[in-house]
Amino acid sequence: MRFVDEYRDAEKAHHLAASIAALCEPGRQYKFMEVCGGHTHTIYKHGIEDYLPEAVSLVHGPGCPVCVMPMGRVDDAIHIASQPNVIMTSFGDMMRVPGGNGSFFDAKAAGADIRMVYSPLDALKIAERNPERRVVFMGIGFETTAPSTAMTVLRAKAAGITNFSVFCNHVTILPAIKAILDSPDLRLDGFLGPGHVSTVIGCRPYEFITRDYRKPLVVAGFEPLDILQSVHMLLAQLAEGRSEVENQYGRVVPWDGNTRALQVINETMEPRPYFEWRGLGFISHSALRMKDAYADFDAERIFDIPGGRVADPKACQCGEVLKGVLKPWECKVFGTACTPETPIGTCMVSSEGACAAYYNFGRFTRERVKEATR
Amino acid sequence: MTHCEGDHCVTCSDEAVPVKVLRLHGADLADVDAGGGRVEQVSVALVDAAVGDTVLVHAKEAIGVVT
Repeated sequence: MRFVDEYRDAEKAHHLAASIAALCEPGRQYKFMEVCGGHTHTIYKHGIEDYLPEAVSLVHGPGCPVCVMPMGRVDDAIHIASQPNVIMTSFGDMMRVPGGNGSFFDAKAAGADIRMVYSPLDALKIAERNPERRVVFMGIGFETTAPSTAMTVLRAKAAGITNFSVFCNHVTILPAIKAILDSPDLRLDGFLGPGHVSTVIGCRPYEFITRDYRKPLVVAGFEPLDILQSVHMLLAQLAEGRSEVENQYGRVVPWDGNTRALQVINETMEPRPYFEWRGLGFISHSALRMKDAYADFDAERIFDIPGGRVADPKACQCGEVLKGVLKPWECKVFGTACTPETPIGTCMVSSEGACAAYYNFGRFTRERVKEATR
Repeated sequence: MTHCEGDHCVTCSDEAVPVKVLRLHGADLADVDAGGGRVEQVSVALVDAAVGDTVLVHAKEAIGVVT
């Protein structure tokens, strides 16, 4: 398949692995964070870590929108779904995310009308077909998904659809990266930048990372060779003493992003003063809410939400995993009490979550290594 | 029940699955080949896409053209 096969060529991967090893300074350890959950998924699925020398380790970042959803917001969404005459619509990966009082699946089993959709546009169609019901779309995702929600709100307004609203939980990646850079417990040498978020926001917004924190960042694609080449580019920058934003994913990411997509986000949404990230706590200006002009489409204003904060389960160490301080298997409940079927923490829910990705693809490798070194 | 599993996450569209534009419906919507002969309608309001282009689609919204 075009745009896929050529980025999975094993021979090229071996070549890249050899030049990556050659770029490593003897005795030096390198720690790079892949910000996006999509990268985490690729890394485990294709065993990228096995291609890297021991000196290079990849740390999994906070870029899985499902994983960072705080429990209180899930409870708020279930509260909305339980109101009379409401149809709640949600992406499938949100359905199993546990709140303080269960997940969407649990609420659905208890009688709430919660439907899975593939896009906000599908939710809008449900609203059109059910004019007597109040249809709410659970808006989640980074800058990649926000344009889709924004466009749908604009379409609803243009079409005069009044029974559709959005429970807006869209988050933005830059404040989270900054929070990680300011966190004292993590030392990083560089970043693999999120490819698809960058399709929308472009490469320029990352310049504060390379300028103020002196950490190189390479916007990376999602195929195995994309990741390897991006690691190579990061190591080359470090070897040459550079700290720049580079774009490895040029076939998709324009340097200035998608200005039309940014415009529709800015037209309908604005930054919240602060938002809670699961495991990372409250981060200022890190999420979006509907603008006043679109209050009629804002589920948060239409429905009286409790807005409570729910502490993460004590046993769960998603926070440390999201910050890259712990590897998934170092969490106390990983693979025992917490599995993709019965997740305690959000990192185990989505296939992009570091724990689920590791559980599904990586754990056998580690078990083999353990046995071999026994 | 389908949910986020396997190769593709709806929320994040974690892999750039190439989706080819088959025909345009006005400036806003397009039929695309979603793989395996499955035709899906998506929004192309935010990109300049022509028939034959490969677009990156996210929650049925094309956010970029693959070049």
